[in-house]
Amino acid sequence: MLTLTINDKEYTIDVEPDKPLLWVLREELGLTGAKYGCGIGQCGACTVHVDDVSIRSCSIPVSRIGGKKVTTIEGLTDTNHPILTAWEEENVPQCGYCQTGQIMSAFALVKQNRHPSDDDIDNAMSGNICRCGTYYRIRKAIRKATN
Amino acid sequence: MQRRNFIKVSGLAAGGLLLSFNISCKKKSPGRKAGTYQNVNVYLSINTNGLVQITNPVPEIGQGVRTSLPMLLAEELGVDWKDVVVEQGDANAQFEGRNQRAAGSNSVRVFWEPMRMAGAVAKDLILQAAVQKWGITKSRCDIKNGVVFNTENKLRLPIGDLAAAAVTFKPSDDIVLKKKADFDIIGSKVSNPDIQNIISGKVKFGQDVRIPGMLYASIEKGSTYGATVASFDAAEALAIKGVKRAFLVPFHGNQDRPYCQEGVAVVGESVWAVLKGRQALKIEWNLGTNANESTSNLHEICSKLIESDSGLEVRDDGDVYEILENDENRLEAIYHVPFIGHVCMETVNCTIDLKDDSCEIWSTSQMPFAELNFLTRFLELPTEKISLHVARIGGGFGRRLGLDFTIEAAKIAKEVKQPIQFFWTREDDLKFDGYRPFSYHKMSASIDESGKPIAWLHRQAGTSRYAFRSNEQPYGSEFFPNHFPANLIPNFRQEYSLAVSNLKRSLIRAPGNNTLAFVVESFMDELAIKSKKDPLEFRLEVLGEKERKFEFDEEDEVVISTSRMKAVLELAAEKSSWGQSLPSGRGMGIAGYFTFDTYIAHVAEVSVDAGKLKIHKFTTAVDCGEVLHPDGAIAQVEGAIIDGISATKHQEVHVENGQTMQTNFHNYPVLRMGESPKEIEVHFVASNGPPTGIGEPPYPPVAPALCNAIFAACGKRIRKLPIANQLEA
Repeated sequence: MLTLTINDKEYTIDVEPDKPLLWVLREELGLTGAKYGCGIGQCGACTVHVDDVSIRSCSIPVSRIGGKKVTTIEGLTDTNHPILTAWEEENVPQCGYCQTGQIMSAFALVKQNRHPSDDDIDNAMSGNICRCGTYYRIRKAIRKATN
Repeated sequence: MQRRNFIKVSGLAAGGLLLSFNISCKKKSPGRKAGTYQNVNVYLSINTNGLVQITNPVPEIGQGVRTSLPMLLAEELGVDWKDVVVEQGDANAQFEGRNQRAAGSNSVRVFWEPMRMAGAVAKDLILQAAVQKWGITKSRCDIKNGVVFNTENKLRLPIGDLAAAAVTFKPSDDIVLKKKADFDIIGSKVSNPDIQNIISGKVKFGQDVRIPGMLYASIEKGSTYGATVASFDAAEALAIKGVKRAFLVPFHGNQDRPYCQEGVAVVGESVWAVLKGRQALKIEWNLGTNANESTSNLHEICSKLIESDSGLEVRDDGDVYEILENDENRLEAIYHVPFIGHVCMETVNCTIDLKDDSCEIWSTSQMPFAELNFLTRFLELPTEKISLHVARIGGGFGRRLGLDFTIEAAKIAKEVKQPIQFFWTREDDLKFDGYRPFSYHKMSASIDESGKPIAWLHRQAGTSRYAFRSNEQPYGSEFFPNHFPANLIPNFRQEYSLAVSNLKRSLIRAPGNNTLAFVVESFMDELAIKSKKDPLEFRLEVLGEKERKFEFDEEDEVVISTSRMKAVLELAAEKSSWGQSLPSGRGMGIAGYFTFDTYIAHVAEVSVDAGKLKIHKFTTAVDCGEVLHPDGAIAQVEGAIIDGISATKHQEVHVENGQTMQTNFHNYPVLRMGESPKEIEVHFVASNGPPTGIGEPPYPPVAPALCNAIFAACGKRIRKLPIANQLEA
């Protein structure tokens, strides 16, 4: 039995300790906002926050989370957050599959750095692949939210 | 014209069966009562609370059809976009049959009239109901923002209050579509109906579908394409917690070129259990007849083929060989385009609940109607016993025009007799994809004293996509014999040689064109340099002063126009300040191309510093006819530029001993944010013509614009893709 704190809620679950957090979220807890894209921490579609830091949930065994606080896209309840507003105004998503991961990375960025430079944005976001090619609008949205 | 439209859509009056899958979640409608929906036609249902539900027929793969197609209906009906709820259509013959496909950049082209007509017919019926209710003249009634009003009295009614009465009428025979000047929604910027659900993680993709009692399933396949199972032992796999079943899934189609490759399916209670189960399988493989195939062989074979005189003649104008042989100054260059994979962000998957006498499917196919027809035969069930829902889809690029993963899912479902979600891993996706064909191109051309090209020879050797189709020439999908500069150069010849290979290839975003644009528009640049002319001026001269139109595709009555091509080249040049002086190491490149009736020109601006490429800006001009949703069209262009840069810089699949060497994003890099241009500017040529394609056309000319800019910046001509580390040398 493992106890997890996810989106400020406690869950006690019976799960294999080596199971990656991504599959625990998606299969045990019904939180499907984090996506599978590569399974090896290369594409960022599975990005969530552990104690406010972006991590790739596909590559971290659930047993390593311990008592840390996990936040998923479903836990971003401030729908007026400038990042979400900018995402909507810039109409960023195309297919949308990578977008929850992109947003989680963007949230982590602006939490640490309220006025990121273009280089800061590139550095923070380059772990998230978008095959539709929404990078141009992601950058615009982050600039808009942080200016 | 109007009569024809009326006949074509007369079924719209029937209030036919509404078949749709709610992937968007119902729009939040604070302050609205639940109300009741009245089904008006296959695309439309109107609620008494003012909401208008529009069913989108085409799968959403990121091309924006869930916005653009409902806009068409909303425009003609006369409703406010904020009152529109978009539903996703199930596979259904009533949606123009085979065109219920995300393919060929055709969604807006195909539905431009039918979906507007669906709105216009609905409006006509509602107005007839109003006329009966109010006893006034129809010509004095209209609908605005979802409310019926008239100019005879002050009576007004929301359309929802008249919908039930409306469906009892027959459509008038004088229904006319709106004129451009009267458009309220078409041409404006509207919100993406799914934006809130996407950014909150609520929207359901295929892999997010959950149904009671569902198991997960996946197939472990051999390392080579065409490998079959000699024997397997699943004891260790079955011992893993959560693994339920493991069984052979035989290949589908031809053993040497299987449509679905043979393997061992593992079925379990979770994705994780299935993945561990796959790893624990002990399988002896027969590697099959393709174990000796490799891309290094193909390099050798194609290099030889382009030097041989045995190529099939695709087009032959004038006497190319006579001129080239007598020209010591002829320009020759060899180009190469590699295999690339699609790598959709969401790997292919299919959720299927097969019962004895019925089946329900949550599809991620780009062609749900074809999928439904296939399943009807494969499952031996009547069409009406299969409900095929279409989930939101995490990327297409042509990958999901294959039914391979549907067939695999259906085969497993037949065996398991329990609902399953079948999925491919990223490794499966790269290893067993059908790749963009591999090809070599030998280009030769002569220029006269005035610097005009007078002879052009294009020899292509490659692994044609349609080589296995017995009824078609192998060049059928790899050459477009009427594409420019055909008809513009008096001596013009194309030859094709097939490199025999079993390696699996398929179609990827603007198939054929994405190869040809790179080769033709790069070589055009080389000719301009050789003629000592500005690359833009050179292209404009080749296109000629006067407008000329040439037949492009006889069957589809497509023509290609010199003036429309010139217009996009000139617009992109003007907007990018083409010709301005740039610092050393910085350069601009231009390329223009025609695909799916759309004309695109890109100007790329780059710098190359000590072998390091920086892409500053793309300036793009587009002639895609009438622009239905400019913001969406711009998004498609931006995305195609990123995708094009990705393929040009990075993407390449290698095969050794029949085995694909690329397995995931660490050894198959795709473009990341830091490498993408900081500026993208998109300009449209004003047009009253019908809308043409936009999802694919901007993709092919990205590679040549980028490589021409690299040449301008540093003098290095890229003739083989991807660029990879060629600039470092």
